[in-house]
Amino acid sequence: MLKFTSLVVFELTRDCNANCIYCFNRDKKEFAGEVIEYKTFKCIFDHIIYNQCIKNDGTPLNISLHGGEFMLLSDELLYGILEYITTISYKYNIKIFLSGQTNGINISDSKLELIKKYMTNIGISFDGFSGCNEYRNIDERIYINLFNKLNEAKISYGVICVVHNNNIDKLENDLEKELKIPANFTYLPYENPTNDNEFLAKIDVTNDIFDKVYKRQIYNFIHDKPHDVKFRLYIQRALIDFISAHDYTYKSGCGGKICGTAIGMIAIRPNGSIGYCDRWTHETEENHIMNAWDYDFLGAKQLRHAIDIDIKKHNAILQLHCDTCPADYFCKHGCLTFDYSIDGKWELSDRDCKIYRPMYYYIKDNLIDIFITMSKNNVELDVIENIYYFKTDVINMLKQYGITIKYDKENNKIKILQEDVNE
Amino acid sequence: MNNYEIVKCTRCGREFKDFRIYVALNIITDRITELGIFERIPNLTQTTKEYLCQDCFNRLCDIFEMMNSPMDEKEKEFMEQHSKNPLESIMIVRDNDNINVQPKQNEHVCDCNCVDKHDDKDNPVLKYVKVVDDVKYVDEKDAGV
Repeated sequence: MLKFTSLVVFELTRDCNANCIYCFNRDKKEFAGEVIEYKTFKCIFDHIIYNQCIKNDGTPLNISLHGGEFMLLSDELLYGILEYITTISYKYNIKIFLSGQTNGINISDSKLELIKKYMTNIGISFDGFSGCNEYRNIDERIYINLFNKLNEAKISYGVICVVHNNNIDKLENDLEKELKIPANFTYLPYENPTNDNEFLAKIDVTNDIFDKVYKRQIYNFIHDKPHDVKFRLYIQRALIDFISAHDYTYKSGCGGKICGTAIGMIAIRPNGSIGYCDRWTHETEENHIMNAWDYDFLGAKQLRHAIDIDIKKHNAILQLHCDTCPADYFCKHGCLTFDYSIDGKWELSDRDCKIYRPMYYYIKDNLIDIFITMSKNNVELDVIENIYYFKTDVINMLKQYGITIKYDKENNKIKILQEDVNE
Repeated sequence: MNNYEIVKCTRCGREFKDFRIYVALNIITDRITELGIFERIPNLTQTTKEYLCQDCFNRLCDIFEMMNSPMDEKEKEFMEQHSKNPLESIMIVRDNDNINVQPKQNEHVCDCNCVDKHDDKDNPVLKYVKVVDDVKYVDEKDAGV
């Protein structure tokens, strides 16, 4: 079951000490007090490493400790788990990126030490100061102290911020300007986890989020100022799409046209059950593929599940006409399992259309200014896919404004220059 | 560089005594887009591996060989037809004259009103490149304009 995986979302508990009104995990109360057993963890992790040894393709394994709230684990258990991950992966030469996602409430000094010692980075769920965090029902004052401690300890951390009606107009001042290096931030547009709650429907800001949040991220990116680190990927892809012909799809975990659900990415529950991903609003039998310790010859069962869900996504994409959308290449393409667990239909909502289509037109209308600004600020583009050739009409147009594009193949970068050099 | 060796059959667990047979199955998956072209799915482009002893490999071959026999009438019909006309499953999508579709640098490839405009509608590259004109919205407001 773990043969193909490069991203493991490891749910160490499904219990949580927060009560965010919009949490997509609608049945977490059923799991109060649940914590993974150490011997179960070791058994699962041994299987992960065993399959990585067989896979042996040199790619690193990303492990994201999740919940519920994984910081509910005792210091002893968390230490045991982190130590075991580090020791065993080192023993077998498996490169691991270990991260975690937490609401931050339970990060004591002792847990801070564990994060610093073992983890590559940590994600903090926080929606901003000045009342922005109200929907999470957590006192925002604890975050002032927490961020100071993380900064002092030089721990790499990212703030995951859900954007809703209560914070959309305040994020620039009450989050972006408050965070200092080594912190970064990622915005998640609020997605209604239920279709029977009027209040939750009203806090949706999908129609405004491009104008009010993401347009600013593009501005900040091209001016080399702090910006949404996840959205940077989509900005870069969009700009690359305007100037070149390239591979059209890419390997991903969460996100992308056909995401890595059930194949590149899996979610493991505390009882060892493996599901497609962690975006289901309820635990269902449907989301149980097999147990982490079950044998799967040549990964046949996993492949069958992955192809089955991807055909569902393929049909949803056809229904939404993504193939003919100009934003197709850089769009996030929604989350099929999330939408399915709300409506019971294998269909994609048009939430991301309201972000990425306007983004296409915004970039198209401002293409020259964007590239001129990037060249002035020495902002480069990271290239992930193969580029076949540059679109000469766009390149020639940019040339008229003194902008030249240089492709640094060795470092997979595109440089935007104001010199008379063209590649 | 590995610091380990697979010393037991990954299926039956028996220790290798003479042979270790490494089986790798490559899966490459494409979807057919709305435009009718094959589009690669990188997440379903994977290699899966097993290290087998000879007994397990023989079992695998037994199962594979079952695929040589038809499971139903439709398959039987196809297999008979295929033995007579194997090229039926392959469709020519480009003639050999246009096999090198990648344009050279500075070659004009767009549909816009550039000074150097030439008739490139027959350029096969355009079949694979999405341009703004390919996309029509019923209501421009839907497109966020």
